[in-house]
Amino acid sequence: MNAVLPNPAGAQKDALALAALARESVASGVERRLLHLRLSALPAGFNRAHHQRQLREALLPLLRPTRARLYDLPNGDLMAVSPPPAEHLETVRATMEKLLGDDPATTACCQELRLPAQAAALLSALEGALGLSQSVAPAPEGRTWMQRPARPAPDQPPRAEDVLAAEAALAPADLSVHQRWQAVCLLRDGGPAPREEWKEQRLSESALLEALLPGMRLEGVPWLRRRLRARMARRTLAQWARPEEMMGFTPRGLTLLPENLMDEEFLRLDAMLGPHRGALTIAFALRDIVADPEAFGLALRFAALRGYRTALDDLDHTDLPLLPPGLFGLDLLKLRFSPALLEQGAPARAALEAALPRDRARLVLVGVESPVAIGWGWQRGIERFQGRLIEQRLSLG
Amino acid sequence: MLGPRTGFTMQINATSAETPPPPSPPRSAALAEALRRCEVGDCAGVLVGGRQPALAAALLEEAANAGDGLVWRPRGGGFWLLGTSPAAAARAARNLDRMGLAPQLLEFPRDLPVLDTAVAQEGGSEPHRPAPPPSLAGLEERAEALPAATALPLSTVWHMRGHQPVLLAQRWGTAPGALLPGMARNWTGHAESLLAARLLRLARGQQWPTGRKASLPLLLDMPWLPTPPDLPRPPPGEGHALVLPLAALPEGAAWAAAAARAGWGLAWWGMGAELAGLMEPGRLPGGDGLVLAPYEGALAQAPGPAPERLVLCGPPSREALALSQHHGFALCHGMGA
Repeated sequence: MNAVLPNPAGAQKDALALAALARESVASGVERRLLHLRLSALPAGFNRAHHQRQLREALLPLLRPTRARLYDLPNGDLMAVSPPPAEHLETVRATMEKLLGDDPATTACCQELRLPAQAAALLSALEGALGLSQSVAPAPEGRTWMQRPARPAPDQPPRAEDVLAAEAALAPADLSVHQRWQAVCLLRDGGPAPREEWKEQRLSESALLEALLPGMRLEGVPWLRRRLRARMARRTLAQWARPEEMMGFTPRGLTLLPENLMDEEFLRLDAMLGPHRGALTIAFALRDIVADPEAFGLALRFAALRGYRTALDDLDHTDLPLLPPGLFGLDLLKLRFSPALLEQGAPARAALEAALPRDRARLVLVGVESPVAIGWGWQRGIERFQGRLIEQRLSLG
Repeated sequence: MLGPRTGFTMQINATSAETPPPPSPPRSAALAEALRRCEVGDCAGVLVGGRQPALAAALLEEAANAGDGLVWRPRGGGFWLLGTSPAAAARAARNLDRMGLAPQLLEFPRDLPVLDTAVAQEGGSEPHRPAPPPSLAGLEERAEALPAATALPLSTVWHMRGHQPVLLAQRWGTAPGALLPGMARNWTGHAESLLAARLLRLARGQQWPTGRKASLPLLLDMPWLPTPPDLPRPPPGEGHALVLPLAALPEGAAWAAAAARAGWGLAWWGMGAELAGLMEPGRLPGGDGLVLAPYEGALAQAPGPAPERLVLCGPPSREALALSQHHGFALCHGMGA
């Protein structure tokens, strides 16, 4: 940072650096606060070189002791960038307003932006600063990801561009309310209390999709729904691929779409996991596998190459006849318990037995909410369980 | 990623491309050192193309870290692992090979000429810029407006019997590439579904494509929908089938029942080599109808337990013809296939 006016090449470089920052922030989900000081938009009386120099000289001391960075833009604007909470940017804004007085023409000169939520607004401002667009679109004011403009026609399937908007809204979203951990436990007939083998992070996809595209009917556009689900999984992966997450990494699992394994977020996690890869169980839903066999083939080969454990996620027992022996090359089958299983006649029971992997260590019974489910599992030699009842037993110690 | 709507990167690139590139781009000290090591010899490298760039880069970076090498990404595309130990390079090449990325193992100084050529080209080569993704704005309207002849192609399913080609069926399908070229699976799938919804409407109005041969069964592509919609009556004749994307497999039983009620059989679209076990008799809902897939080497080489059900779609190559005759699977091509 310096207090003299920027040279054009430096400003061009700063603009490109900001564009890269926007992209990185969107990809990684790392938040940044920005204050766009639109000096180029100041009234003529304030827009002289010496005014700008005075403003910079007033602002720089405010930013110097903080982690904020100041970027010069080719049109003379300044962009201060800071990690959250960035209270000092508020100080900068207040100082600017004090310096410029209460002329209404000067009030629009400070524009707050948040990354990654407003990456598009930042890029638009950069385009304006670089002279690439005739008019600079005003940044949406005070819009957060949950307050997106409602579409005029709810109960309609979303259009392709709605999905892109939802993806942009997803980037900064706090997913924690939609995430929950659930353990897979070993519980032997007559054995001691359930023993946790690994923990899985589950995402309430429907609730999150409803938050992203309120009132829209995604059932009619399953490919778009699938696209958003892949994006949601990438957000989880970005959360996991952080050094602090690697500290004390315990066995865990998550559900991905096959194409997620080729995403940069997964490859970053893969590099970080190193020798701990065997502690990660990656589950795929049948629907996601058959929707993109090519990506599944790649994912399966990569998982085998790296030593990840793989699973077929949450299979309904009515889908068991579809499965060829060998489980498509996956290690585990997670079968969903249903009370209907208790009412099966002898032929159906025999067919089910024949369809289950012989090695029962490859089976996990999920959706366990009653002791009946555990009993049903034990009768079939299943000893790994997941579900609300198991969580209760774990919490009881 | 900012998504296809953001044209900013392209605009930045476009302006930077206007300034002429320097005659010889400055090399980083690390690249210069890696090149020097390759010239001295007794080291190895790997060259791999730009397919699956994130994966290729990750595997090569890992090898570079393990074997004290460097990953060079020329502006023209592709990845080079340079100046690393032969063991690390061989391991990286093996891993890339297992992922089907066709790596080329390099030994130095033997392969110096290959590297020299690439380095010499680097000076004059344009920065590699992926083609801008097609716009998604107005996709739904464009799916309706595209000429049927382009968007809804009629292709022919056939195989060789002896030395004679035998026509088995016609497929009235979709050409998602005409709507959204070069996009990832979910967008292509959505494009397929939008176009197939149009097919469905035409079929409900008993509007069949020009060029249809009344003597051949018709395979009609369906959109991926969670529940079967109102289905049209098939045209006169026998053996007609609805083609359902494999993604709808969990709803297959409901679709099979609805198709049978309306007088259609059921065929499937989108098979892959890893899922060939699904073609075992009795496994897929709707009887043992045809199973269609884009032409893929792995599936053509090992067409699974029921090759006679398999139809590989794509332009017929000499290899495709030979494998089709050898294994007994059918081929499907025509405009847009």
